[in-house]
Formats: sequence, C-alpha cells, structure tokens
Amino acid sequence: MITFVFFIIKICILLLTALGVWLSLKSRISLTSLIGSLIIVIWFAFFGSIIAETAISPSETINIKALNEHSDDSTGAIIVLSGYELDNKKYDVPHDINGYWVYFDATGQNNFSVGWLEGTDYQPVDATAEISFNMPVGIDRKLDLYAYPWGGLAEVTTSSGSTIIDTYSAQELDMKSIPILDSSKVLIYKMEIQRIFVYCGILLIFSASLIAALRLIYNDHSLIKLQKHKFLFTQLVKRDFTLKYKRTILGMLWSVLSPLFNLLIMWLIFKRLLGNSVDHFVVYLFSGQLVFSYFSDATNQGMTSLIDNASIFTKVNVPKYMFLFSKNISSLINFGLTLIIFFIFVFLEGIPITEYYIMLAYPIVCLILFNVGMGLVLSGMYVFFRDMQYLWGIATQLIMWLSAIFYSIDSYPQVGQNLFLLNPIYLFIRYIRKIVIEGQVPSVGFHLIMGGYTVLVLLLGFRMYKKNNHSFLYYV
Amino acid sequence: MEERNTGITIEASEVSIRYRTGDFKDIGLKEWVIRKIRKDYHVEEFMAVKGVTFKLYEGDLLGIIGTNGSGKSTLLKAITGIMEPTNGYVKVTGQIAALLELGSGFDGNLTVKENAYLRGAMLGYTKSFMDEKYKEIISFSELDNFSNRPFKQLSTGMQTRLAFSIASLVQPEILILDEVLSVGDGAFQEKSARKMREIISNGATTILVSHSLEQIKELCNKILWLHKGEQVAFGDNVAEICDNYQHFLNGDVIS
Ligand SMILES: Nc1ncnc2c1ncn2[C@@H]1O[C@H](COP(=O)(O)OP(=O)(O)O)[C@@H](O)[C@H]1O
Ligand SMILES: [Mg+2]
Repeated sequence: MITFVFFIIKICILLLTALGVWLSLKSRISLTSLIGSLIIVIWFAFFGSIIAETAISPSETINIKALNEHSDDSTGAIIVLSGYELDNKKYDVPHDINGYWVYFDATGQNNFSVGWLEGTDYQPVDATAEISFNMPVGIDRKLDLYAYPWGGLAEVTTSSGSTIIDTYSAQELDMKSIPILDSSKVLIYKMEIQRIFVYCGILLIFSASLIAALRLIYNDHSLIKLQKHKFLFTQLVKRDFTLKYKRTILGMLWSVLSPLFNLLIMWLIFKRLLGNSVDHFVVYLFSGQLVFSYFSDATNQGMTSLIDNASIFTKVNVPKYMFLFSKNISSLINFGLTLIIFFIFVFLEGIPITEYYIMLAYPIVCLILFNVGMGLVLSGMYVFFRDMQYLWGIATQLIMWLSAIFYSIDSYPQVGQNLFLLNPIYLFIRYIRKIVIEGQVPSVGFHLIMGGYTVLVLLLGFRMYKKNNHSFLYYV
Repeated sequence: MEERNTGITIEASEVSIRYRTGDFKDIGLKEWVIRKIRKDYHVEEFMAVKGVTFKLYEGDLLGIIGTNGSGKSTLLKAITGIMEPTNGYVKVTGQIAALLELGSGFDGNLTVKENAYLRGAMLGYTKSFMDEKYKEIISFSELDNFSNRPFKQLSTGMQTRLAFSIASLVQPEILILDEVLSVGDGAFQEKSARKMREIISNGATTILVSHSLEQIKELCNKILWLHKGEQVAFGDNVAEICDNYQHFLNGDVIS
C-alpha cells in the first residue's frame, strides 16, 4: 500500500515534468519532437529512480542478542550470520562489524561471514552475546543465518520492535533465511520522501538541460538544417558503406568477426594468468574489448572523414559534421552487432539478467556521443596536422594498455585505482562490468564523471567545427 | 536600368575575400610545435577578391569573366556560403543550387546512379524528388546505358553532362554554374543553353562563369569583369564590357 502510494506520486512527477517539457517547447512542437522528448523524459525518470535508489539507502540499527536458551533438540548456540536479504536480493553483511563477530569460515570455502565466536574459541553455551549492525531500512527483510552446529534462540531488535528467532537446524551448517520485523513506518516514510527529493532533483536538472538544449538547437536552426540534410546524410552513409565493404558480405562479416578474433586471442593469452582470479573472465574480457574496439574503430575511421570529403565541402555548402556522422554510423552498426554477440556470451555464461541492464543505455549513449566528440576533434585536427593519424595510432595503443581490458586493477592501491578514473574508456568498461558481472549500479558520482567527460569532448568537438567552419578550407 | 527595391536575390557589398597561405600546409603537429617555439611559423595572407559590389534581381543572369586566377570561383564560394567574406557582406535570398568546378565531388568507385543521388542530395533535393526525376536526368545527359557503370568509366564530357543535368533539373531559385557550360560537345552546349533559358524565364537568378564570350553575350543580361581580384566593370552593357575584355585579352590598353 505504502509503496503503491509512492509509485503514484512518482508517476505524477513524471507526467508533470513531461508536461513541462511539452509546454516549454510548445511554440515549435511537432509530433516527433514531442515523442522524442517524452521518451527521453521517461527513460531518465527510470534512470533517476534507480540513481535515487542507489544514492539513498538509509539504514537502521539491527541488534541481535543470543539468548542463553536453545530449543529442545539442540545443545549449542553458535550462530553465523552470513548476510541479509531485502526484496529477495541477497547482500553480504557489512564488513565493518566488530565485537563478538569475527571472520568465520562457514562452509570451508573461504566465504566471508561473521560468526558468533570469541577469539578462536566457541562461546560457552551459557554466555549471552550481542551485536549490532546497520541494515538498510525496508520491508520484507530477512537474515541469512547458519546454525553451528545446532543453533539456538536469539532476540532480534529493529526500529519497530523485537522478536525471538530460532536458528535451530537438525543439519550442521544449514542456511536459514529468517524474516525479521519491517522497519518502522516513520523510517520508511522518511526514506521514500528522501528518494522522491533526489528523484525530483535529477528530473528537474535533466529536464532543464534538455529544454535548454532543445531551445538552443531550435533557435540555431541546426535541427531544421539536419532535417533538410537527411537525404544527404543517408546518401553519405550509403556511400561509406559501399566503399568500406566493397559490396561484399564477407567485408561486412569481417568487421564483426575481427573484434571476436581479438577476443579469442586475448582469451587464449590471459586465461591462465587471470582466468581464476576474475569472475566470468570471458565476459570481463569481452566488455573491455567491446568498448575499446568501438572507440578505436570510430575514432580512427572518423579522423579522415573531413579530409576525405574535401572535394565536397570546398564546392558545396553542407554541414561538415555530416561526414563524420556518416562514417560513425558504420562503426556504430558494428558495435551494435558485437553487442548482440556480447549478450549471447553473457547468457551462455549463465549470468542472471537483472532489470539493471536497462541502465546499460547510459554508458552506451555516453560512449556513442563520446566517440562523436572525439571524432569531431580528431577529424578537425587532422585537417591541420597530417601526422595526427600516426600520433593517434600510438595514443590508441596506449589507451588500450591503460584501460584494464585484460587485467584487473582490484589489487592496486586506492590512489592507483583512482587514477584510472581519468581514463574515460576505462569508465565505460567499468560501468558495463559493474552492471553485467557484479549486478550493481555504479554510484551517482561515477555517472557524473562519465557524463562530464562526454559533454566536455562533445563541446570541444562542436566548438572546433564551429570555430573553423570557414578555415578548414585553407588547409586542404 | 530600372531600380527596384524588391526582388533583390543576391547583394554583394564591398566583398573582399582572403586566403591564408604560407608554410602551415601539410606540416605535422610536431613540426608546428617546433616552429611555434622557434617563432618560425609564418602565415601569409592573400586577397583573392577585393571590394566587389553588385546587386542581382529575380530573373537576372550574371556572367562573370576574367582570366584564370582572377577570383571568380572564390567570389562564388562566398555567395554559396562556403567561404566568408573577410570584409563586406553577401546577402542571398533563396535556395541555391551551385555547381562549382564540375566533376569534383563525384566518387569514381560508385556507380553513375549512386553518384547522381549523392549529388542530388548535396544540392538539397529530397529522395522522392530524385526517384521521380532520375530517368529524366539520365536521358537529358544521354547516359541511359551507363546507370550501373562505375563513374570512373565516364569521360570528362559525360561527367559534366551528368552534373549539369542534375543541377539544372530542379527549378532552383538561384543557379550558379562555374565553367560548366564550356565543357561538353557542341550539341550538348546548345541543349544546355536552352535549358538555362528555360530556367531563367521561370524567374531564377543565375550566375554563369564562362570563358566563352559568345555564350555570355548570348545568355547574360549583366556582366562582371574581375581582374586579379579587382572589379574592373559591372553592368548591363554586356556587349561593351565583353568587347573591352576581348581587347584586353588581345593585349590592347583598356579605354
Ligand atoms: N585554397 C587556396 N589557397 C590559397 N590560394 C588560393 C586557393 N584557391 C585559390 N587560390 C588563389 O586565389 C586566386 C583566385 O582563384 P580562383 O578564385 O580559383 O580564380 P578563378 O576561378 O577566377 O580562376 C588565385 O590566385 C588562386 O591561386
Ligand atoms: Mg575558377
């Protein structure tokens, strides 16, 4: 009931925002632009709610007190807490618990868990022990407990009261998920309201920038110009396709296969080195290869796009960025095909597909825009400096080595790991890995850094074209 | 000449256009940095067009004459918006279909049809328009059997014919032809001249650069003579200016 009310509130906010966007664009509204902005708003509303979800997870203190009692059949009261569940998703116990709780090898497989031990000795039966830890506020929560060897009674206290649980199990190390009391209503309301605030903030910031951008474009008539040059654009794309693949199916097949071959080679080389220490190593490698090969392809192909069309733009007045866009399309299609193969790999690896996968749209859209921006910068620079092709070749190699494609930086010191955040390509790769392999959404800050790089490069690129629009001609 | 205030389609006022030359072309980033540090980086400027002023109205056909390198093509680049005047301004009202230096912008590896569509797109036509008119273009340029041949197999004359057909096909409001009509055989020249007259009679403004004074005299109602970027003459006394130019070419002193 509570969640339903908040759901309705979120929908209302969403509709209001959409209405706002619509109204603010009304002077020039067309059906397509309306649908476009609606789709963007809805998508970002979803995005906003997930970010709100990850950004705000207020917690409450859960207290577990072992009682000097056990049910009739058992003689021991050693309990191991291995984690908790929230909405049927499992979480590990926080790693910072002290007190009586120590590392405990519950299953003999080196799982991290926290046990009811004092020192290296089991606690005597008559002892009472008590620990507290923070658990996110919520409803439908469970504690994952092992009884060792037979379990006993414990009193669990949450914000809304306490209950006695029995961890007895006839089998040794039998894991039990034991429901505990929901958080108090006050806490839940507080949390939901906080979330709605974050969510509104994100939507507001986003809609404002969307409106500003659309306004700018409309006033600039660039959008109209794009519409006008749609046919030219499709013709350029067609031309680039025919010239690139020489009208052969094999040509097209090859461009999809070559990243796969690269993957295969990398896998053969690094399997022994890393295969055991990295989960789902093929997918780990593939996500790096996927992002990097698209980046490398789009920028290296795109770099020559302006020069190659010098005979056109010195004779006909067309927007010059069209040449880059059209070149980028074939790289994008390659990327799309490789992405499909990537998901097949994910599926074959048996990685569960969660609703968080929809968040992959964010790094992918950012990556596409980032590549466009890089392409604009590089193709512009290439007009001025013909050795850019050679320099960029070296730079691409360097970026490949610095993007943690085939190695893991988890064991690096924190400073070293942070240095990798300076590399946008690493960010894209990391995002995909986090969602696909770890099943988690990166932090809000991570989103902001990635978006920041993308916007920065895009602005640089368009500025370069705008500033040099009439001077490229002198250099060809 | 009757002065009108409305119907001005192209207005050029004191237009000067600069090229930048010097040793910056074809140097790499490395070389550039080194030269910048040594303060050895020189950019020279070259005025290709100096202070050209004229006005054209609907239905005007302007002929531009001048020796090679006198700045004709450069002036047209400013009118089409490819270049920006360094001084002065150009105001254009209407849709331009421009054909600067024929044959360029085609891709030898694409077929004739693909090139025709690409060129049509560059001139701002729509797909449906091209679909509709493609047959007409091909037959006007007499290339019916060449549709699916690679473009590089065409002779220069054929290429020009195709280019002219595509550009003149629409009823453009402004048509700009740079040394287009002087190529091609006699029969096609005649055919294209007829087409041009048809376009003009529909009220388009046309600019024609040609080395054939005959053609200019026959078609144009206004004329602009450029010499080393300077405007020697502009007016509607076409025959007179042409004669002066002819004398000039023959080495006589301009009166
Ligand atoms: N890209 C360029 N860079 C530098 N100078 C140029 C360039 N294009 C043309 N010029 C110079 O500008 C002058 C005018 O050229 P142009 O307009 O092509 O003459 P026309 O068309 O009358 O033969 C010439 O002296 C030519 O050398
Ligand atoms: Mg010329």
